[in-house]
Amino acid sequence: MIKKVQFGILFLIIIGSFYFFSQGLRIDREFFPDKNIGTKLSNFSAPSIFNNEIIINKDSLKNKKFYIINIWSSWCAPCREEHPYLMKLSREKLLKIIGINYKDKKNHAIKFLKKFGNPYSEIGIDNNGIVSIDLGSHGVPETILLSEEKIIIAKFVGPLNKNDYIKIIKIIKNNESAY
Amino acid sequence: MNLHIKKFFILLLILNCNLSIAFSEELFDSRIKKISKNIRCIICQGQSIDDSNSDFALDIKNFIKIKLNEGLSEKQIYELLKNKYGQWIVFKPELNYSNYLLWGFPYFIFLIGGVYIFIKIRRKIIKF
Repeated sequence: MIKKVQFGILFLIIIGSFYFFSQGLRIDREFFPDKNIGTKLSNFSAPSIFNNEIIINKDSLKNKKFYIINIWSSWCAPCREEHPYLMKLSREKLLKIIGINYKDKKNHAIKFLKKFGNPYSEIGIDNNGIVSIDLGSHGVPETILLSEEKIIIAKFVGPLNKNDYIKIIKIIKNNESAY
Repeated sequence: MNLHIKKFFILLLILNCNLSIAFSEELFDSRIKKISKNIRCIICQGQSIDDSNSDFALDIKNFIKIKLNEGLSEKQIYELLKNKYGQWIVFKPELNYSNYLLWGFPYFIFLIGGVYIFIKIRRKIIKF
């Protein structure tokens, strides 16, 4: 009888742990950039590409209802893909777009902007990737949409696509109608 | 003779300085390595920052180096990175209410096993 009880307990423990660990397999291990959505943007500081004496930081985000920080580089092919959307977004009156030029050469970056247009009000240089890490980025391109209070509304890892563009426009338009 | 001794001591001093600089650099590098081994490379899954050569990993290594130079402790650097990228970025999770089972389970099994062995041995002793 005791043997049977012992066996039963052992059996239950084994089944229980199988169930417990199989539940763990179902947890999604992909990283979601949504983790810091709703949090305040941490501080960053980058010298301006046009004038080294001007420092671009959190205080550069002012006078608008929404801000976009876009990390880009002239050598990154997906950045060319998303550039038309940024150009379209730059026409929005409530929005200010700030670029962070990631590990790039200044003349290449300027050439890129001359060729495809400049959607950015200001551009900061990130030579060693530290500014991007300060912003919590994963690489280029990456786009962070911020509210007036510099709270992260949305984060887009990888190039912006049509859906992302529509999502951003919707957020801005919703706010516009509220005023 | 006296001059030779002086020269010898100066040489020894220079050598000593070089050695201490080399050692301190090595110590610094080993600290970077230690931290980067416990940081997950989010974009190259299954690898630590130390294993990877991706741009992201290089940036994080650079970030760790700068923060250590600024005088931040290991714990502060982990906290900074966790704030930016979430708990998932560190390999060794912290003990909190959502993962107490993960930390406690091995000890629990160890305890149960110990009690089981104790009972078995005691029974055998009583039998003899």
